[in-house]
Amino acid sequence: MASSQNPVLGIALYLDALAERRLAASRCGSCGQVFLPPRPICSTCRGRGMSAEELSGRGRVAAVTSIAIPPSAMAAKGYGRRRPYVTGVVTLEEGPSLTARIDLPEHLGGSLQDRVGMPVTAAFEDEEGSVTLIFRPA
Amino acid sequence: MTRRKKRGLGRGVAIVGGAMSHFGAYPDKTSRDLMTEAYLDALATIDKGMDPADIEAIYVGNFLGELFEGQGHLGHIIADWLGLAPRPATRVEGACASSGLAFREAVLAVASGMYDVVLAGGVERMTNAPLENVHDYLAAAADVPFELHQAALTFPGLYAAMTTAYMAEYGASGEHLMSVAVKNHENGSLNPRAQFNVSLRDIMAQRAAGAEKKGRPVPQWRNEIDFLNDAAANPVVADPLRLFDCSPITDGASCVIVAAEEVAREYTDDVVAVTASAQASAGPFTTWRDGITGIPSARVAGRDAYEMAGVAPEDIDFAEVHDCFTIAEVMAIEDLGFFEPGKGAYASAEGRTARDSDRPINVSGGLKAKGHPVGATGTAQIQEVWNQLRGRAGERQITHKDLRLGLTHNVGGTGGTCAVHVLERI
Repeated sequence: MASSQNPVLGIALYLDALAERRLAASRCGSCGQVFLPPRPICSTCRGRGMSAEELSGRGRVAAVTSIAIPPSAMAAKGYGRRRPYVTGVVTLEEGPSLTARIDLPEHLGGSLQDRVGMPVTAAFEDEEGSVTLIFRPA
Repeated sequence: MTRRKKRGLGRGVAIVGGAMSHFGAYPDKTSRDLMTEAYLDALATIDKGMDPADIEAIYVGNFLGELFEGQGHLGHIIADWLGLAPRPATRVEGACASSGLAFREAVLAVASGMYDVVLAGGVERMTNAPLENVHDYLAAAADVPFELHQAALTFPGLYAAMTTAYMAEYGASGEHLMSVAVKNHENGSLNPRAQFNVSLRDIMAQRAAGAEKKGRPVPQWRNEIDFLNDAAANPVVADPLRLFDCSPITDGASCVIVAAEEVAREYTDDVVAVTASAQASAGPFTTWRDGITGIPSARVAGRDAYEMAGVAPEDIDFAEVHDCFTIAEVMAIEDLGFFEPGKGAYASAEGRTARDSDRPINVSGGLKAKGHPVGATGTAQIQEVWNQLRGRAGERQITHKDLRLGLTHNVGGTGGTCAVHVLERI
C-alpha cells in the first residue's frame, strides 16, 4: 500500500526521475523481476511487495526503425522524410525493455536490422525545456 | 493457472447474415451513413428474410469516433439510426479489434441465453481527418507515455521495429514481406467492395500511363517486386516498412447478424456455426517475455480457439488474418500455428498462402487491399469467411478445395488485444 514514505510506483515517478536524469524502475520482492516504468503489482508472480529501484541505463538494441512520416509533435520539430529519426526498443542489462529514441547518426536507411544487439547507453538531452531520453552507442 | 471448467459456449450460435459497406475514401459519409449501408446489405443476405424487430441487441465496434468525427457514444446513435432503439446498444472499443470484440460480445450474449438474435458490427470514419492528424489519433492505441511521447513511434514505426527484430532473428528480407502485398492486392482485385480493387500490376500500369500523359519518363518495372523496390514509387514510411507494406486509411462499416442455432433455421437452411470464440490481452510489447517476433495474445487466443473448436491448425481450410502491415500477416500465420516461427515470411514468398494454395490467407484482399476502417475490420473478416463457407464470395470464391472450417484473427494495437474466431459450415 502506498504511504507518504513510499512513493506511488507509476508513470509520474518515472517522469519525475527522468527530469533528474535517472531511470526509475521497481523490483518485485517475491520473484525479483524488474519493471520499467515502476509498477505496483508484479505481472510475473502478482506479488505486491515492490520497491523502487534505479537502473544503469546500459543495454542493447532489441528493435529499431527510422521514422520518415512522424507524429505531429516531431514534425513540428522539423523531422520528416528529409530528416528521419531513429527510435526503437532497448533491453536494459537489469532485464526490462523500453521504447526510446536511439541516436545512430551514421545510419539513416540501409540495413537497420544489423543494429539489433548493439550495446547502447542512456543519454539525457535537453530538448525544448524538458529532458528527453535518447540512447547512444556505448 | 487453475481452470475450473473447459471453456465453451453455453449453447450453439450461428451466423445468419452479414455484409460490409464499400470500403474506401468517402469523406462526406458519416458513421451513420456507412453503418446503414452495411446493415441494409446484411439484412438482404438473410436467405429467408428477417423482421428487424427480431434483433434484440446491438454491439458496435468503433475505435476513435471522438477524434475522427467528434462523436462518442456511438451505440445509441447507430441503434436509433437503424430503427432499432430501444434495443440495448453497446459500443465496444478494442482499437483495430473493436468489431472482433463486438462480434464476440454478440456471440456470448446469444450463448448465454439472454437473446436469440443479435447484431454485431463496426464502423470507422477516417479520411475526413487531416492526414497529419491520423498518425496521432491511431497512436492512441499505443502505450502513449512511452511509445508515443518518449519514443516518438507511430504505428508503422511500432511494426517496423518488430520487423527488424524478426529480420535479425530469422534472416527474412523486405522482399519476402513484399510478397504479402503482391498477393493481397491480387486478391483485392477480385473484391468489388475493396478499397484497392486492383492488382499491383494494374497500379503499375496506371502509374506508367500517368507519367506518359504528363510527358514524364515512363518507369519500366520488370515485375511487382521491382516496382516495390523503387523508392520513388514505394517510399519508406518507417524503415524497413514502405508505403505498400501498410494498410490504407479507410472509411467503412461491416455488419453480421448472429442467432441461436436453435432459431437459425427460421432464417436460413445454410447454417454457419461459431465453433470457437477466443480473446486474449497483452501489455505493450516491451513487456513480452518471448521477444517481439510474434504476438503473444494471438498465440493464446489461437490456442484457446483450437481447444474450444476441438481442431488443430492444420484443420483450418482458410483464414482472414490481421495484415495491418505485411509483417503482421507473417507473424499471424506463425502465431496461429500454420507455419513454424521464422518460416512465415519464406512461406509467403513461396506462394503457400495464395488463393489457390492449401491454406489461402486473406482471399478478401486483407486489410492491405480491402482497406482497414479500424472499427469495421473484425466483422468485415467474419462476413468474408461466412460468405466463403457458403460459396457466395463471387469471383474470389475459393473453389479448389471444400471449405468447412474458416478462421478470423483480429488484432488491436500491436497485440494488446487479439480475437480469434472459428466458423464452421454445418
